[in-house]
Amino acid sequence: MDGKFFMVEGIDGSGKSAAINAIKDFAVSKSLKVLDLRAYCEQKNNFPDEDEIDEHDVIFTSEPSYSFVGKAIRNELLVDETSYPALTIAHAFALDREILYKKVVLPALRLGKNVVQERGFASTMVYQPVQDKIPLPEIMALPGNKLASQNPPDLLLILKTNPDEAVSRLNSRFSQKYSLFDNLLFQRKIEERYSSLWLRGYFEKLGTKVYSFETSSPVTVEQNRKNALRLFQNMIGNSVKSKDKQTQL
Amino acid sequence: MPKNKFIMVDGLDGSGKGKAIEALRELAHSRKLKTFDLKTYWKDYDTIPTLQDIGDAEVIISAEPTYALVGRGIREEIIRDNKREYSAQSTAFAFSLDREILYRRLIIPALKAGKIVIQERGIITSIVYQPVQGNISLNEIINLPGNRLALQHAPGLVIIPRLTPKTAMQRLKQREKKDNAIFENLPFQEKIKERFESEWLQTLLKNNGSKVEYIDNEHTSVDEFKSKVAEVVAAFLKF
Repeated sequence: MDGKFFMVEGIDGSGKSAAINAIKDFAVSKSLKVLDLRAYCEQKNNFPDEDEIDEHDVIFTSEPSYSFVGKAIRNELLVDETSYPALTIAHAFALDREILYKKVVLPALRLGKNVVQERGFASTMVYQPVQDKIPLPEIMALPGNKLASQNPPDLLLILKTNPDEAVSRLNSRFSQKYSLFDNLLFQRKIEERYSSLWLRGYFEKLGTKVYSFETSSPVTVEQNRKNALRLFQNMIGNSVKSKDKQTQL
Repeated sequence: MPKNKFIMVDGLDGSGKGKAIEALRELAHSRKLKTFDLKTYWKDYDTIPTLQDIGDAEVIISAEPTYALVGRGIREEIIRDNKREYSAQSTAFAFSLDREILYRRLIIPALKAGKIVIQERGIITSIVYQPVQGNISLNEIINLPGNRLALQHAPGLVIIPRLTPKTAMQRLKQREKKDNAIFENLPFQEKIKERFESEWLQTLLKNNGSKVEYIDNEHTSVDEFKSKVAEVVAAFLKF
């Protein structure tokens, strides 16, 4: 049976990492074998082969990825010192997505692994028409984006947060320096698009279950973690296939 | 006056591009010019160097696809003979993107600084191969951002070794290193040869300020071929 595909979205600073870490901590506590793709890419500078994927139970991915095109997006295309044209950036995201899906996400799902991903083509739909003024249909027609819409997540969790709060949270985070996106007006516009009915409708049409949870105060990080974990547990049912045994959750 | 000191070597697989580059490296050394070899750099670094990283080298020896970032993705995933297929469009995007990063980070600043740049393969390869490889038009290819940029900064001199695909294939078979690229079969190479030598390609390059030199590598020894290449390039650089 195919694995389940769980995608987490939201503006920068909305608590995506916290939500994903809750699932990761849970998987580790159940002795499931976790493949953290970012750590893998940073160590091996490549994506894992199918055999390596098959040795794990839950795969954690993110976009942009951390190898090849994704690394170029992070280290070159989106850094402050460069200004690449919008079309180049749109092509790069679609290409990174195509490689990530073909090499990791789709094989993992076929092998029955659960995949948890931070950001994906919902980010493309939300950000690129605002940032780059490229019409959405043109973006969605790019090969990597078509592939992603043909293989939608089973569950999409959109974290909603007050943009002002998110931006101030980000200012205390030094590793975000590369991002072009961290300014308030922009984040407000993006938050609006994440909350939109058209985005929800688009994914529901593809068969994705869409949830959106508030993460601004008074919602605590702990509550955000609990919400995300509960969704994940509901999605995978009461057991998950481990390489060695059936692990009761 | 040539528009820049940019020399691009392109041609069929097995046509002698490597030998031509070797001849140019030797030419640079004989003129006491310091060379910076990107392929060597890429053995240690997964990035495109900047002009600063090049230091006081006068000659940059470059290659496409690169071996860093997108270029590594092309070599290790997209054109690999694996069971995953990438469309002509995705492949064209990838080459254009790799090219755009290479040109913006290094090639354009280097040419502006008056460096000599010698490059194996590039925009001409995309123009020649990609419309044959799959469902993408020449027009679509030359309008991709990285390709437009590369045509704006087209090499002053293009060197294309001329030989029959049969000879090229035979030479390929004798090689130790197998690229495992998906392009290496005879009917395909026949088509590619025709495109490398076509009028329309010569016109396109001429319109972008490139001089094209075809150098015989069929009825010649390696040494004769190399010294012919060195001679043409020395004349171009006014050595």
